[in-house]
Amino acid sequence: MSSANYDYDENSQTWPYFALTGILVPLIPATISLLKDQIAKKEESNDKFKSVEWFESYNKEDVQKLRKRKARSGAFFSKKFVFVAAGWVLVGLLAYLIRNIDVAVSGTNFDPWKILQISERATTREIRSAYRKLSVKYHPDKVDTSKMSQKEIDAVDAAYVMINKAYKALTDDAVKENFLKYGNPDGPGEVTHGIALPKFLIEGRSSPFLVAIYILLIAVILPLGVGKWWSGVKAHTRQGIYSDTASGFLEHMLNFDPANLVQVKDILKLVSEAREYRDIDHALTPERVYDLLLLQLARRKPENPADELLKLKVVAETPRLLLSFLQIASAFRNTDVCYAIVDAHRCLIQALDIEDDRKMHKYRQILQLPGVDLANLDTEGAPGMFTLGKLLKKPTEDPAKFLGVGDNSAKVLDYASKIPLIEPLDCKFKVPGVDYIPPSSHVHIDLRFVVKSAAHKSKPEISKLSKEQVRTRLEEPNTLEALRNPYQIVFDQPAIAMDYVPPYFPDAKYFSENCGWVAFLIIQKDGRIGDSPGMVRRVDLSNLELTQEQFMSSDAKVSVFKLPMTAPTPAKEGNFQFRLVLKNLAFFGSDIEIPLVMKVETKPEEAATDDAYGIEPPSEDSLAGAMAQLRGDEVKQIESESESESESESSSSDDEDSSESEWTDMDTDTEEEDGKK
Amino acid sequence: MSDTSFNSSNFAYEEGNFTSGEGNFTNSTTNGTSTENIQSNVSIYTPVTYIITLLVLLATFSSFYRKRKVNKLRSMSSLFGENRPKEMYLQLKAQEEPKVNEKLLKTALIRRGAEAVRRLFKLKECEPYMNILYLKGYIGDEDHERMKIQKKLIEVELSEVAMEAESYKKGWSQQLFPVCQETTMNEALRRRLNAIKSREEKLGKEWTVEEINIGINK
Repeated sequence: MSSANYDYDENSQTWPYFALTGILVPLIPATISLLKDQIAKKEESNDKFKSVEWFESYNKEDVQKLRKRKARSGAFFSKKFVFVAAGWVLVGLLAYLIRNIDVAVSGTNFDPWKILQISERATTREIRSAYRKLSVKYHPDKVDTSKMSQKEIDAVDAAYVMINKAYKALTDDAVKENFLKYGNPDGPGEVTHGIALPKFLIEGRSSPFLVAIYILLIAVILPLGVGKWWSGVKAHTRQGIYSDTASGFLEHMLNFDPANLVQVKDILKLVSEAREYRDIDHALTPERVYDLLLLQLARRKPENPADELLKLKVVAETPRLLLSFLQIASAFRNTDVCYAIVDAHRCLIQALDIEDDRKMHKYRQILQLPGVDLANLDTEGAPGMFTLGKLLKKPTEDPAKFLGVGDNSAKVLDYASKIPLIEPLDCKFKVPGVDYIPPSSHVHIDLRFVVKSAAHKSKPEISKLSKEQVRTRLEEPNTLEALRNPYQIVFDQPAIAMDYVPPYFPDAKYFSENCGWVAFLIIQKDGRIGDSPGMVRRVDLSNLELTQEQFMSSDAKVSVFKLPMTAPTPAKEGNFQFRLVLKNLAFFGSDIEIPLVMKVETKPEEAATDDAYGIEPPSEDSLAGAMAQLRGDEVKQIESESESESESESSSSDDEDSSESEWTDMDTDTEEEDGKK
Repeated sequence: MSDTSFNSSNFAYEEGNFTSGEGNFTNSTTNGTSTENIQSNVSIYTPVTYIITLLVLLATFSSFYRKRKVNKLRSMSSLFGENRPKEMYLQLKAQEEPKVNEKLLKTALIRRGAEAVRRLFKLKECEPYMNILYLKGYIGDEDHERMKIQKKLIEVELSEVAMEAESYKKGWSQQLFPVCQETTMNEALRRRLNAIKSREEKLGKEWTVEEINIGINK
């Protein structure tokens, strides 16, 4: 067949199907993600992360304006929504079109039962009788054609032919086979190739347009799109910041002078060089960004009050950059820079400058409360009231007088009592499935703690916690699921949900995602960071609502945090000292340091003998017996040979100690070499 | 219905075949012997032009591409910033009027070597960190490239320093590098010593001496 002989979709039979598929493929995922977003938002938006409505900060208007704008950008009637809605309207139109298409009858629509007007279960006799009846009725000789037009005569002829065909298709074996195989009693029909485009597009006057569209699509849009996507991928790091920005952070860390003290302002100065700020406003220079950030710390408006919104945009952008910087600095294991970054992060969120004024530094925990100002604080009357705990538990002066916030002091105290603190119950290194730390194993830090308010005294004793809490949260049951994914228990906890967003910080969404702690593992020996830091984002804050009595008794909830370690445990046995440092990203006075010892040991002897003698030896002819024999051989004689065997066995046999210790030994050699560099 | 359309298309097809056959036939009769004349339609220059065009295009592309690559490498800044001791040494050496004393030149060379050694140490220390960052995708390809180039540059710089040292006195390069290393250490120490004052100032803004004492006594 000539290839030039393509059929176009003249009756508009096919192209709507193609168009429908083309639209539905992107539309369905988009719709699903839109609905998911909405559901997530609905769950979130119950009176958490509110603005502090009882305190009028100097820039409240602008902060609110920016928060509203950000909230609107995620609202239901977004661009995405418009796209999805338009898509479904198109789908509806196409569906209407498709419904109205009557598919042209062809050989494939041949239905002999319908033609003979019988049911599909009809017997041969029924078929025959139906055929006789119809053939008598439609036989060209029997029909009176004298008064008919030519067209009607043709129709009668055609009907008779069809009746004959149908009869043969059901009775004649050869014809029947054709019908079953090809759906057509005449045998395989002609295979047609068509183009699912309406004819007017190709042969009409619009054909040059179509060619132009094709060329545009293939030669211009496709390469441009791919190129843009690729350069976008290259221009950004995985954290979503510009590679240039990351490059600046990297250079700073590489040229870091340990002699200098890093402070919040050094960090801010460095971050102000980021290219991200130029996306907010082209005219922003690093110096200007730095000035704006300092103004935020000083809680002042820019000279031109109209710039306040710009300042807040800059402030909203900065914490994200700080967190990216934190990742890079922690890879360089630099504790000082990491701490300074966290300090910078919370200084920005609380709009506090803790460096230039000794008093500001001292009272930083109090000054982060909304409405409290150093000028109004009664520092003379109550010496030593620096911390939230002191303020809430044993104030040396009436808090109302000390805070100097007028009628709002009760609300301020309530706000203060809602700042979460961590009270550790148990903290240890843990290898899933075993209760000791084997060398060269993958380990995580397992921290069990109660969240408490600064108003709570001491911590609940473990014996007083509810049985259920102890069973499920404190002593994690050694179920198969827990072994498969030890971090599931952390993810099952609710995300941190604070009541209020700090009044000076404009981005409520960012705050809601990053108001937890960042956990550093510090190596005691050199004071540097041991592993990449983790974020504590999922914590049950319900303890904050409890009274002191409730907190001490069984109502307290236990939370879990696990920090996976990327590096394996040391290859040698011994005790290794660490500190786990949790620093709050948003609030002062909620940091905690926990000393930790990692005791690396190979499997204690008695456990191995326990297993060997505690279980009755399996009989020799059983599978287990054969395995035991094999294992026994391997231990005694062919130690070097059976690495792979022992590995595969350890998973299937019930005592894996002998084999495991063997291949961990093997691992240690290579590990040591790695460690030496 | 389908039958008729099938027939008509078949018919059209045959018709087309027939006319094209006729065309061929007329072609060959007018030009006499058939095979040579068909070849003569395609000139000998056609493949030659094709190949030449292709080669020229490829050559332009490759030279363009290489130039771009070199330019990109040139535009990459060093990870460590400018190398002052090196610049200083080169300037001193190039100075003609008055000629610089050889002792001064040697001192400048030691400084240059010390800086090279410092960079070598620093890069050795930081290379695993940067590799981790690169693997995690926290830094771009370009930075990884820069690190690799920097490693090579340091090697070149060290051998250059050694050659310079040899030009003053044969065998001096053997003793030069231990001296450079000591200089590096000394400078690091000095930096820390000099920074004490500024640290004190900065910390003094946050703490009083009494508070620090209390902290220590605790």
